[in-house]
Amino acid sequence: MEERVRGPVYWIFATLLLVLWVSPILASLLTSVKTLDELNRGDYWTWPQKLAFENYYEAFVNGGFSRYFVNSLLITIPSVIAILFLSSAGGYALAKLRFKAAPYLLLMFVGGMLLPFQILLIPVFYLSNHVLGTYDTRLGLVLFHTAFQLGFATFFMRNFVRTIPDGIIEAARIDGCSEWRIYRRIVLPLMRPALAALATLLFTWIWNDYLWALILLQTDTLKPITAGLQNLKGQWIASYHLQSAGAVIAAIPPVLMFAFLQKHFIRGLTMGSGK
Amino acid sequence: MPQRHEQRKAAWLFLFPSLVLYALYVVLPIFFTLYLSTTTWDGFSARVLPACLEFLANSEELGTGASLSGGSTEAPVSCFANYAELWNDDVFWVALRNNLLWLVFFSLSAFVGLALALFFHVKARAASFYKSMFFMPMVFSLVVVGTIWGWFLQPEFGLLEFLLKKMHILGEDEQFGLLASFHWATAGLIVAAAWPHAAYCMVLYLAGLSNLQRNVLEAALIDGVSRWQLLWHIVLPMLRPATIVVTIVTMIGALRSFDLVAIMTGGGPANSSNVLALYMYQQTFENNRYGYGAAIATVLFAVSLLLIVAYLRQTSRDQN
Repeated sequence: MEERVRGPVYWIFATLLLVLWVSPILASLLTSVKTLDELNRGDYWTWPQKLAFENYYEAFVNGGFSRYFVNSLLITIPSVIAILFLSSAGGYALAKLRFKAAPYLLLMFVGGMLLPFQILLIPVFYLSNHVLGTYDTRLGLVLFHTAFQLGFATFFMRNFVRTIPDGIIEAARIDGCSEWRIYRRIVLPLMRPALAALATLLFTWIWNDYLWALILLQTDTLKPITAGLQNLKGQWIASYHLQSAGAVIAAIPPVLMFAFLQKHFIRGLTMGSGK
Repeated sequence: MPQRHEQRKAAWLFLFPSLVLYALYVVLPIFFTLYLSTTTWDGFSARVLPACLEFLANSEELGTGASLSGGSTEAPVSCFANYAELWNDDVFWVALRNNLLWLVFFSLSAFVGLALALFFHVKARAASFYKSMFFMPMVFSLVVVGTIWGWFLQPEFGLLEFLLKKMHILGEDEQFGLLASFHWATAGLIVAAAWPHAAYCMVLYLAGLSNLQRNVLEAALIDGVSRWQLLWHIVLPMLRPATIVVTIVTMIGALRSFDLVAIMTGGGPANSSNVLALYMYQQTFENNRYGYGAAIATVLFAVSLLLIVAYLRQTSRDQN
């Protein structure tokens, strides 16, 4: 039933569907380059008369989006790197090293990834505020994201490492390789496709986080772009052209990543949730 | 066996940093929240005791004599006072009802995802472009989704109003204001949430479709099975693993709904679109009722636990 050549009727219908589906995106792109005058006249759903790219300048420079953008990078990139490192080591241990606790630890990691965040909110807030002193720092957010995403990431890496044949690892052990060297020299290079897939997922999830930035950060100049956008919506009530520009800026990194690394992203999603 | 010992040591070393972080930020917090749900903690006081044991602290402060005389200490309060209060809290029930509405109607996005996957499961260069564009909403932050849909549904000039006026369902100077409506606000939120989620379900179903065994499908077609029968009796059963995953991520997503509600309606008007996740946040961080918030979180956790256990059973079945 699949994979047959489709006629023009199919493609016309598909195109209509597509336009409908992406119309929210198109509408925000259009609104983001309209002038306030045009919006005030009530021309919300028309083609912009002139392209007001200065809206982006306004958002980036006066709206502080440049700072929010940098904050998002400073939160997302270290978290992703830390998770890749920890989950690849943990995944190797759970998949290829023999020890009794392995299945229980695995269950713990899998169970944690489905938790409702609310069960963690107060303790994590308390921990950052009163114990670790990382409240209102980007580091605090990095630590939380790293810890929470380890559940999914370790499970994901463990499933990938299991597909590496035991023979390779056994041979290295017989040659007297230490477990660290096996991980570093043999397993890690083989993990590259899984790490790429995982990295794209983690980047998107952490970049898009809003709740934890709300809980763990207070100072405006430290906030990531999601919290920044929400803040500025309060200041820019009725300035829908600026709100849209802000939304577009916040969406650009994940969209670019998706555009260039779509294969990894999709593979990650299906690998991670499949089995 | 020395090698066995080596491996065990290495395993714990490899996992050590992960386990410390995970224990601190994920495992212990669960128990801490369960504990807090028995308290009336305000987030400030240094001492946090369950409500039913608070009289111990009071008697300590007043000296033992006071508790013996009995006059100054209050009667012990139940440790489940927060839950008793929840039972009588109208907003809690509205939030719970809305979470159920989310569960039911958010699931419709899974059908949309399935339909889209079936429709676009075509081998053609152009089809992959179409698919990418359909996947796009999946990578947007919910803050972005909420911003976009927020003004789509805006009462004065939003696209919905514009279309309703064009179709003369709404008079020129009438307003619908979906998100400000007691009855419709949650519907608006779920539609916005379904947009990226349907894309996600589409990805999962497309992966499922590409794993189907071609020979079975071809054999069925040769046997003269109609396309509808093929879908219903062969394709859908073969997609069962994908459906299970889709069901679980959809239900978890419905229970986790926070961002969109917080951004688009703030739970309003008058809490009519509130959900447990947001209500917990409001009670805790806006009203400083940490104990009460912890109780709401515990209820949410209890509901999720059913799903988590179902998922764990499914994955351990897959592993074996």
